[in-house]
Order: sequence, then C-alpha cells, then structure tokens
Amino acid sequence: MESVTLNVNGKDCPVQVEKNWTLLYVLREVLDLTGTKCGCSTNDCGACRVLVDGEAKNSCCLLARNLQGCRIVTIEGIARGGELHPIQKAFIEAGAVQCGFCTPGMIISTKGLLDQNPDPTEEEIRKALEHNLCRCTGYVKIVEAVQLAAKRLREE
Amino acid sequence: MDAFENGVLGKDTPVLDANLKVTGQLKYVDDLKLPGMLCGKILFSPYAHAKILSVDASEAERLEGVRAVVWYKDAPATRYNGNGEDSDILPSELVFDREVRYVGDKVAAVAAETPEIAEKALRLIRVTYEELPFYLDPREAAAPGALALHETGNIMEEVKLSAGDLEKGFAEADEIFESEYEVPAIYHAPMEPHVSLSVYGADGKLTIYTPSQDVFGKRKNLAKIFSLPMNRIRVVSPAMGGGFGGKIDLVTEPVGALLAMKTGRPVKITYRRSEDIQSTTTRHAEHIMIRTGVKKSGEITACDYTVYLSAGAQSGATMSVAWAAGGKFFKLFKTPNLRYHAIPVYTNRAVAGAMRGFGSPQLFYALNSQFNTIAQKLGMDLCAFETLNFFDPNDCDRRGEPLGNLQAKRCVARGMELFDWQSALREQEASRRNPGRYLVGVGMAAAPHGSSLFGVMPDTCGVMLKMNEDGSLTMFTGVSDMGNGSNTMQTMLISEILGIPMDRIACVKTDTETTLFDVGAYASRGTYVGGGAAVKAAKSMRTRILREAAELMGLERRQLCLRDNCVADRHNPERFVTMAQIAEHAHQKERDICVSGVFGTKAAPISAGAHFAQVLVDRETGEVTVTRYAAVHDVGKPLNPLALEGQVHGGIQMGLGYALSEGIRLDEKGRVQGTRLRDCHLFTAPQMPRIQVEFLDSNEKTGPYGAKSVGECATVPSAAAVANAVSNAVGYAFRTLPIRKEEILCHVKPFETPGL
Ligand code: FES
Ligand code: FES
Repeated sequence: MESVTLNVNGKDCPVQVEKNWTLLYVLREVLDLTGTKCGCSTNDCGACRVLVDGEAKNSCCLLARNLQGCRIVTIEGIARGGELHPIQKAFIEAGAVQCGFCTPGMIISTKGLLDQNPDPTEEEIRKALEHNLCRCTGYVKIVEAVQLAAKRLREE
Repeated sequence: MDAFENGVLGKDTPVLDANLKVTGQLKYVDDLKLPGMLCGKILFSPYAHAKILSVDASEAERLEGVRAVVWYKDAPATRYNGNGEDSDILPSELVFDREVRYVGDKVAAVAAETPEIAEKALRLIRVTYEELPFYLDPREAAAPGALALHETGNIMEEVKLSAGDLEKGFAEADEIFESEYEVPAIYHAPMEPHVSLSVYGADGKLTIYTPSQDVFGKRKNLAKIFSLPMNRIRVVSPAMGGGFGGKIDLVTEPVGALLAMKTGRPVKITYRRSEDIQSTTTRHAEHIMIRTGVKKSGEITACDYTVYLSAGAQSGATMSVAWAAGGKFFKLFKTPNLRYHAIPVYTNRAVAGAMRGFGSPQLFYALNSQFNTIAQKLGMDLCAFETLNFFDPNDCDRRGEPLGNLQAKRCVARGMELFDWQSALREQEASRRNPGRYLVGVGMAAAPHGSSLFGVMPDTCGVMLKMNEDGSLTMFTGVSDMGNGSNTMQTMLISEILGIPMDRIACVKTDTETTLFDVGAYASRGTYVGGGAAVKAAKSMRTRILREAAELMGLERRQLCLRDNCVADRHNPERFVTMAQIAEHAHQKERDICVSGVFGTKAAPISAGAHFAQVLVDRETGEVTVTRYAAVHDVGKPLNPLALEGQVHGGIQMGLGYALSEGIRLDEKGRVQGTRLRDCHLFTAPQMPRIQVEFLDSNEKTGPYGAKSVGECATVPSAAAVANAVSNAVGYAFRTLPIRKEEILCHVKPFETPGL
C-alpha cells in the first residue's frame, strides 16, 4: 500500500492504495463515489470519465498512485452547491438522458469541452464525445444538450 | 378518446429520474454494497462443446478468503428455460451442467472476500474435459447425424405458417426471384454490464437485486430452479443501464443465488465487459432464403420465406422469436400467398435471445433487400413497389389477424417528402452516371411491429395507486423502465387523468414484493399495456376521489372535475377541495384511497416505420459514411414526443451498427473474436448522421389515449434502409450483414484519380 492524496471535488482525500488500483476503483470502492461508472475498464466506453486537472480522462486507465495532488472532478462535483449545473439541466431538458449509465461520463466530457471551448461547432462537439459510447440515444439529443448548455453558459 | 384536458400528454417530458442520473446519484446494482458482501466470479468453458469429466476445487477451497466453490455437484437438478416468457418451453439449462455447450458456458463459480481472491481461486480449479464435436452453423447442427446438444435433438420445433396457395401464387408470377441472406449474432451492448446481488437469509428467503426487464419472469424461473414458493423470492430491479432485450433472461442470477445460499452471505456478481460480450444472450444469427413471385405491375403474388435460426446453446427465447417473426411476416405485405418456415437449431455459441425487434430486424432486412432488387429489375421505385403491396389501415392479415390502424403507406409517403426522396434519387443517378471517388446511394425500408404479446400469451399489467395523507400519490408498477421512459409515460397518464402534478406522483417499480404482476419489457408493450394499466388504475382512482369529494362538498359526482391538484365544481370553479382535504376526509371516515387496475390486451395493434438513408461509399477504402437519415413512424397518438424521438434515434444507432459494423465473429473453435467493447464497433457520435424523425398524427382507438408502440419498430427497418443504400451506391446487391469494407472493395471499380 502507498499513501497518496487526491484532490477530489475540491477536497483533499488521503488514501492508501495498492500499486495496481485505478482511479476508478478508488473513487467507487474507497471513496464511495459511485456516480462514475464502469462500462468496460478497458478504455473503450467513457462511462468512467472524470476531469483530471480540467481534462476529461477515463479513470479506469489511470493509476491512483500517479495522481498525487491532481485536481479530480467527478460527476458528484459538477452541481453548483445545491443547484444543478447548466450542463446537467440541459441534459435533462434536451432529453439526452435515457438509461443514464453513460450520462456522468457524457457530462464530464461536455464540461471538459466547454471549459476550453465555450462555442464549439457541432463537429467539435461530436469529436469531444467520440470516446463516450451511448447505446440509447443515438447521441442526437446529447449533442443538442451540449449545444443548449454552451449557449446558456455563454449567456451567463 | 378523451382530450388531453390537463395538458400533460403530448408534451416533451424528460425521464422521471433524470435528476438522479445527471448527478450520478442513481444507484445501479453495481453501486450497491451490503455488509458482509462477497464477490462472485464464474469460471467459463474454454471449449465450444465438451463433457466435464472431473472438477477438483480442493486447492481453490483452501485459498484464504474463499467462502464457496460451486459446480454441477451443487446445482439443483431442475432444467429451466432462462427466458421468463418461455419458461415452460424446452427447459434445457442447468445452473451448472456436466456438459458445456459454448465457449463461455458456465463451469463453476466462486464466492470470495475480494475480487482478487475470487479470480485467483478460479485459476486454481482443475477441470478435465472431453471435447465433443461442435456446430457453429445451424445448418450443420440440423444435418442428419449431427451430435445432439440436448436430449430433444438439435432442431427445436419447426414453425410453419402459411396463407393462400403458394403454387398458384408462383404460377401467376411474371418473374420469380430467389436469394439468400446471412445475418450475424449481435451483442446488445447496454452500457451497464450484467450484474446481480443475491441475498439469502435464515428466514429462507432469497432476494435478488438485478437490472431486469422481467422481474416476475425471473422470479418464476428461480422459484422453479430452487423449489421455493414465490413469496420467498424477491426480485428487484432498482435501475437499469440499458436492456434492449438482453436483460430479460436469467444470466448471473441463478449462480449468485446458489452462492448466497451456500455461504449465507450477500453475493454480487458483476460481469466484466469481456464476460458480458462472451456469455450473455445475443440477437439470433440467421440464414435466410426467400423466393418471391411478382407480376410486371409490381404486385407480389407469392413469397416463400425460410430461415435457420442459430439458437445457441440453450432454448431461451428462440421459440418465441421464431413465432413472433412469423407473425410479423404476415403483417405488412398483403400478398395472398405466403409461407413462413423457421428452423430453430441449437448451436455451440452463446444463447440467442430477445433483442430489440425480436427476429424482425433480420426478417425485414432480408425482405426489404430482396424487394430493392426486385423493384430495380421491374424498373420501379422501391417506395412505389412496397406501398403497392402494403395493407391498408384496419385490414386483417391473410391469417385473419386484425392489424389495427396500420399507417405504413402514410409513413412511406411522408418519409419521401421529409427526406426529399426524389432529389436523393437524382443524386444517386448522377453518381452512377459520373462516379467519382465517393459513390452516392439511397435506400428505404419499411417495417411493422406489434404493441403487445396478444395472441402469443395472456398479456397483462397491474398498476396500484395509493393516496398519501397530503393528497400526493404513489404509483406501484411492475413495468421495467430501461431508460426508455415507460414509467414516465405511466406517470404522465395518471397525472393527466387526475389533474395531480407529475412531481406529486412517486414511483415504486419492478419489485416482485410490492408491485403487481407485469409480463415484462417484451414486445414493445410498455405504452400499450403498461400505459393501459396506468389509465385503468387512474380511472379507478378518479372514481374514489370523486366519491370522497362529492361527500365532502355535498355535490353530485358528475358536477365535479379534477384539475390543478383539486376537485372543483364544474360550473363554479371557485368552489373546490384540495387533494389533501380529500385524503384527510377519507381517513376520518376510516377509509383509505388505494386502488389498482389491471389491463389485459385484446389486440396487438401494429405500429409502422419507414426509414430513409443516404450513404457515401469511398471507392478507395470501401468505407461507408451515412450522410443523411430520416425516419417516419406511426405510433398512434404521440404521448411524449421527446421520449419517442429518443427511442427512434437509439434504434437507428443500433440499425446502423447492424448494417455496417457490428456482429459477433467467432473463430474456428467457436471463440468470440474481440471481447473488448471497441471490438463491437458500436456507432460513435462522430459517425452518426444527422437524423430527422417525425411521427404521423394518428390514433389507435384501443390504445391509452390513442397510443401504441415504438421501441422495437424504431430499429427494425434501419439496417435494411442502410444496406439498400449501400447496395444502390455500389450497384451490387449485398446479402450479408454487416456489409464490410473488404467486401465492398470486391465490388467497386477501383477509383482512378482523374487525369492520371
Ligand atoms: S470504464 Fe473506463 S472507458 Fe469504459
Ligand atoms: S443513456 Fe443509456 S447509454 Fe446513454
């Protein structure tokens, strides 16, 4: 076991980790943050996405012990205080949520994109979601949700 | 039909639990932990077919942290059919058998303190096998002399359905077309893999949390397997991360139950994605032969359809799929002379089961493909050729079954406008005359789908409604919501009828202990049957509320109306009582307000959809890009357009994959090639085309507020439309799905850069 301190959703979390523990495992099994989902654990689906220092990454492929001091944001850290984040609201309103299993990862990818690029083209949006699989929506309403969220965030 | 008085129906309404989903708070089964919970892992067969000669688990059992190892010696002797609907048909499966029938079949299982220990223990189990001959192709398994996978033989039960006089039909034809089609098994690929959490207590009660489309079917089967009365089994589906038919059959549950019984501790089994791909149910791989006779006018005079279904290692839903697709064969084309012949055969591959469309995507892919060829030969437009042969609304099919308000013709007509079919055809023509690097092709396909299991089995659903002390409601429903919004739709109907806002109606769902029986998420029955039950319960509730209100207000019931969370005097809206006052009144009189409604279907009205696709085929790489897509559906009255559109979009994503990229490939030993999710080649966001979706303004008079089904119909014509577009672009009729670029390259003339 090694000690490492992860900064998760703005809070420092000292944890003991085994060498091969992934960030996904630590989030779900050690910190009980089960909002981040495991759809494959092989870097193929994006359900496990979190922001690491502002960039959307698949947490199933990151070793926790390499993340000392990194700022990690999970789906549980997206809402603003008690209120849903505009991206979350847009996902709901646009009908981008069906079974919801891909949703946390989709929202994280969206946050990563819009933080860098507040006015993305449709193509850029699709590109940013390339590594997030969804089996329910055909991505149509997800893309619409990102557009809606981008518009609202720009107007803020 | 009642008008949408309270303004709930017909409005875009997000799924009920969307807030939990966007915050990551919704607890799916893999998110649940119980004190003392063990991890269960399964050892899978490395062989496509083998007898297990011996199992030595002594080393595994001695490993620190292992709590149980189970295999055939521990398994109950009852054979079952893991599909709830078909549970009495050809029960062939054991929790653990002495014979394994596919690569990925279950051999043994371990329960241990941690996943690492469980995995280590699996590696310590010594199994000796005697390999047996195996069959990956149903035609080989069906051949005389093939070794039987099960006592009953390899051919399950042939299905033969016919109408009219085939000979006469072919004699009347000016031309006869014959072709064969091959379609692969498809992995459902829900984003949530299979998982179950089993608990067995000292009270002799088994509780299983599992994402399930059919909690009652699973309970029925588990009761049989473990010889328990149903009151001692509770199956709960707290949330489901996608189903598409893959979460109907028992998969991990019987193994989890056995381990929980053996250890007395809760056991969770979560499939890795590779296990999920290898060892859960699939869409049926099929080999299809069609012979069709047509007149020069385009009238189809006869159609003879034969299909071999690759059932996989166990019976599962295969017989139902064979029957259901047979039914659908008769539902769209009015050809008088028809024959459907299905030969379902056990094969040494994963069990084939229900998957969105239930045999119809195969059927309508093959039919629409052949019709595309026929229309071209006749010099007719495909849309004109097909609609000429469609039934009209309220016809009966050739076997006498009523079709309901079938609007297939209008779907095609409206789709042609929406897609601008004529100009799309001109683009295709231009590309043919003057082919560049990218060939343009357009395709169309239409398909019907039913709205319940009516005619197959008794199809019922019960909904219970309870009024709380403040006048708010709790709905208890057995209808499984896969994310498609069935529970949302039920709540909308109740809200509409009672004038109680949606946010004052809670939903308790899919728990065999608290909710009334429902057949399960099969057959696109959510809206028609689940909605029907919600309407019935809400109407009883309205009667109860009105009775209390009339007494409280001293007015006649017919003078009252329900709106805005109150009951008001129709003629003097100022005079009203709130739902809270009504609840209080009833309690004072020692009465509760609790009702139930059970809806049983008396029809399975047919929905329809027409899909249009445009593709670009790259002559250099063989790559296909779907550039444009339109879908028009008849769903009766659209109750929740947002959810309906979402269903169609998702259905199209599946269809595109079916046509172009998905399909489980086995190697010569029957092993799945590529067990990572990326190997399944699901369409991604950048690969998806722009999609236009429209619903007809239609009405099904037997449906809840005029509605009928959408879920499966959304995917049925999709692969066919895309495949036709590719065939039309290349000028070659492809007959195998998926259409791979290697095959395309064999049929296009190489592109030569102009000027070279
Ligand atoms: S779980 Fe990490 S990419 Fe799928
Ligand atoms: S909403 Fe179900 S996987 Fe995306």
